[in-house]
Amino acid sequence: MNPKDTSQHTPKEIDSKLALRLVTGRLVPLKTTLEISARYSVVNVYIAAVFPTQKASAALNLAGKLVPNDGGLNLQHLSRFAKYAELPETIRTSISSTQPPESPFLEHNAKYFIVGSTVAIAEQDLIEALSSVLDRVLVYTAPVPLLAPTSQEQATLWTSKYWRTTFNKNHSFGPHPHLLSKGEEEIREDVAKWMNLAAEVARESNKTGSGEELGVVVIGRWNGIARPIAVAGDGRWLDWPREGYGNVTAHAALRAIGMVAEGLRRKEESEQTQGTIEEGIFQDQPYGVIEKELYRPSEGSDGYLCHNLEIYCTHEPCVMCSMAIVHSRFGKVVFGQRMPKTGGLCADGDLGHGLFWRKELNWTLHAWHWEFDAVGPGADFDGNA
Amino acid sequence: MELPNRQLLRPDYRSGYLDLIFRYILSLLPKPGKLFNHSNDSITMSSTTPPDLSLSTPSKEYPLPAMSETEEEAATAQHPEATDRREKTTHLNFMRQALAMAERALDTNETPVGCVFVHKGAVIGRGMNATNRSYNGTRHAEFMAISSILSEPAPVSPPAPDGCGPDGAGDRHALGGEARGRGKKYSPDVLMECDLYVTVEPCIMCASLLRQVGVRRVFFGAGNEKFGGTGGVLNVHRGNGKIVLDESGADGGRRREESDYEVSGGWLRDEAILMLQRFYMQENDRAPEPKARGKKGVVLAGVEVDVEVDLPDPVRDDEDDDLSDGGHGTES
Repeated sequence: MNPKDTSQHTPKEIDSKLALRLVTGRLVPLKTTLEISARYSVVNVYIAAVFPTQKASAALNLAGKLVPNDGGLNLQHLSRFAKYAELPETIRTSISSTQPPESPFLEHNAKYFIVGSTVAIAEQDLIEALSSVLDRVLVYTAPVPLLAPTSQEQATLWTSKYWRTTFNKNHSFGPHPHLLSKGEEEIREDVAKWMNLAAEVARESNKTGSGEELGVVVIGRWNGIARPIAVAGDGRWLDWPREGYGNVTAHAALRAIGMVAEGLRRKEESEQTQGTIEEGIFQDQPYGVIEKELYRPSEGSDGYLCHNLEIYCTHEPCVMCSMAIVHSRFGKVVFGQRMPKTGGLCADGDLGHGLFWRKELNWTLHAWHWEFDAVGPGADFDGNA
Repeated sequence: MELPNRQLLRPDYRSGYLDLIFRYILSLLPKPGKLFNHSNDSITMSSTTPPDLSLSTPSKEYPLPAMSETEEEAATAQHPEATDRREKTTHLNFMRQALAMAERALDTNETPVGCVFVHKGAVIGRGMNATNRSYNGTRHAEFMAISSILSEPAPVSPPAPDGCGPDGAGDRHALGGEARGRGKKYSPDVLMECDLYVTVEPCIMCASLLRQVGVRRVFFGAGNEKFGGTGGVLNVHRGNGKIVLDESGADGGRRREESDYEVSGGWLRDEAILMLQRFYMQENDRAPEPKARGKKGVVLAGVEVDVEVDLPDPVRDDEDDDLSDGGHGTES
């Protein structure tokens, strides 16, 4: 087929050409490492009862002197004071078991407050100091969430489990919710199409024996119109001895990135100045029928790597490919099958790297898991995708 | 959308490395609290502490490397542990070859990171960063070296005399000429018997590549807290970077996995960083419209270094907003 013709194809024609088996599903945004880790950490603090309640500010001042800065903790997500009735039930039970029934500490409105980290001062010293301002002293040690909650639901849960917790929606643990949902709106309409195309090229790779049943599609979106730039199946067995892991540099994502790069190079360098790039072991040329038909290097990106392009993968990319996606400055990544043992994107898999959004790295992108309504392609693949 | 200047947006390790360089410069300045403490101050360039030879996880504080060779010899004569010294000299020798590759990268306007692969005591492959030339942000030195080892015909004379070279009789690493159509080459499993010497800590991507090809040991120069995959950000060389928490919540021990490899950092670290620094200075000369920042330079080891040089700004999250339509870079 004449390559000039293919560039004229509309998405509709692509659909019919490939006779895509449309499988539907839904997008689930990935959790970031911060969202995952914030969930589990607790720290022990002293909590003291205030009696009489009028002495609350005096007790608080004293605590501020005894345990400056809460002992190095940032507990802004926790209320300083809580009433007895607001304490978690387990704590109420343990307090009432040590107090006579008429104790003022058990009154509905009895005040309790967080003194600070247990590391900062010994309990006995704290009790002695507090007796100087309070008539009766009650101090107990309890775990509280170390980091701020990432959602209102989490705050509610923690309030019932530990201490009154407030959720601040401006506190960032991941992509801004508004931008994330805006991004999701952008891709929602055609995500099924690209995921099915990725599955199709994966099948082709597997059928021709060039690789495992893994595939990716790289999309550019201009003025709301999405077009494929490069489509790549796995190529680990292309021109490679059939043993071990195969050609690691020919994973589908790396091949697609290479195809986009090659397009950029051709566009930027005129034919006279074009240097030769040794191919080496890289498989950056379209190989299968689908790959060749849908390769549009001239569409390119905005001229810088894969800046703000979208990549749709049948499987969660391995650690290497996940980082390659970050290095290449993609804007969005969607994958089908989760790969808990080898995948680099999820923060809640076995590895927990969450590479799509980590503060250390110089690039972050939006990432979704595409939950197939049916069994996805290559569901039994167990290696590095 | 047309980008303002491609020079500002080169596909390399830029922002991570800039950070590294600034940190390095700062580490050379006397610390205010330590002005009167002359003993054991760690700001001296040449240290008498030998680099840590143990192949364990690199610590955050990399040892200061590199006595000069004469110093090294003197030290070797004085110290009875000569085997370690000889081993150290070998490592430094390979690392100098990696630095030579970085130098070549510098000459061709690539971020100066270089590496060599060593098989049975001989260099069988070299690589340097090629991200600019290829327009591909994944063409790091490690990828280039592996590609060259596995695709180019191996040298005619075997690199090692024990028949392990590609032309050695019965060599299991040699592929038949027909297989690749271009003469004898190494087969992929040669990498499992290789040590890598690279001037900068492998990034997360490369650390995973090295794991998947089964490299044996990695020696690197400068650590990289922005991208490093062997201690900087993740520990991909151990259990693919998985963090195993014990009951106390600390990162507990884990069993060694088959693809784990040993890592040792800090080898000729200063040279590696100075190379990167030269790259940014060189870039600076070419910058079309340097932004004047007006900060005074500091004198560092007799060379004036402008700490606030008008380097092209690294691509940072908070700047990407200008470049992307509706991008989401500002949120971090």
